[in-house]
Amino acid sequence: MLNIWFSESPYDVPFDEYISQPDPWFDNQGGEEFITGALEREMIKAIDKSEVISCNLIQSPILGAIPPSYLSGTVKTLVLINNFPEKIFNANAMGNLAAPWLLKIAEQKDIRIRLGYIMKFEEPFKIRILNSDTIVDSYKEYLLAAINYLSAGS
Amino acid sequence: MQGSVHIHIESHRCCYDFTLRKPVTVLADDGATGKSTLYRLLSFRAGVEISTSCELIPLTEFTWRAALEYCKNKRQIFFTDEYHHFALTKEFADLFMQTGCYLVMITRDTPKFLKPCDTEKCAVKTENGVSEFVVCDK
Repeated sequence: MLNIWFSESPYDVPFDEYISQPDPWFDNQGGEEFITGALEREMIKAIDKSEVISCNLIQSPILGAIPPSYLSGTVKTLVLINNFPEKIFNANAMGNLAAPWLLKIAEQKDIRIRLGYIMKFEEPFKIRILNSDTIVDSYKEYLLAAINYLSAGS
Repeated sequence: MQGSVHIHIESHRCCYDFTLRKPVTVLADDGATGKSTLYRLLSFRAGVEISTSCELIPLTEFTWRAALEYCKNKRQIFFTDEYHHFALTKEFADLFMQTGCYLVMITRDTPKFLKPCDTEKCAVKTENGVSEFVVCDK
């Protein structure tokens, strides 16, 4: 299941396993070792429109041959979430394109993210709001929960 | 600094052409649109052609405080990337607002210490190989 902690500040996350900057964390902790899996290739193709040639090489239609460090923050964070489910990642590094992939990963395992904006999920889904330890299964319920913790508006 | 600033940045692979209309431009969109590529071009700019009347300064975790504190030139535009959480702090906002300069920040967080009236939220849209900043719906 997908578990979300809402907080306005990227620092306000009360979990020891929290990674606030997934993009550089991917670069510095060998994130490239995980990009050759079937799901990872699929996500990189769908979001970055790029082909994984090897764990050290990506073919981008715009940038040409690039290292994995040049992947988007959205894809890097998704790869980490799929491969480090024990951690909680700052999902503000990802745009709305990540939403269906998060739900797909969450079908197989429990994953946790921090959100500081209202990511658009499409029903059907079941999401646990960690702030209140409640489960929401409609976009309206999700929205009400998010607004409750993101008062500055996003 | 006041008014609009036009910026053109071009490399062999990428071309950005945009106008900043407010002191703070927040780039937040769906992902994989070239926001961090823009920041990277400004950080490693050998071979990058830049055309603008201002100085473009990519800030980092270690340089931002000095860059803002000792800023003497109002015609500077600062850039921060998505993982630069320092740009969301009150200290950063206070120092930045004293400079009179412009700021382009890549973030999906709400920069609540910066004045909303000075802020424009944009997305990067690419058409025919040229990436522009498009104002997002309020």
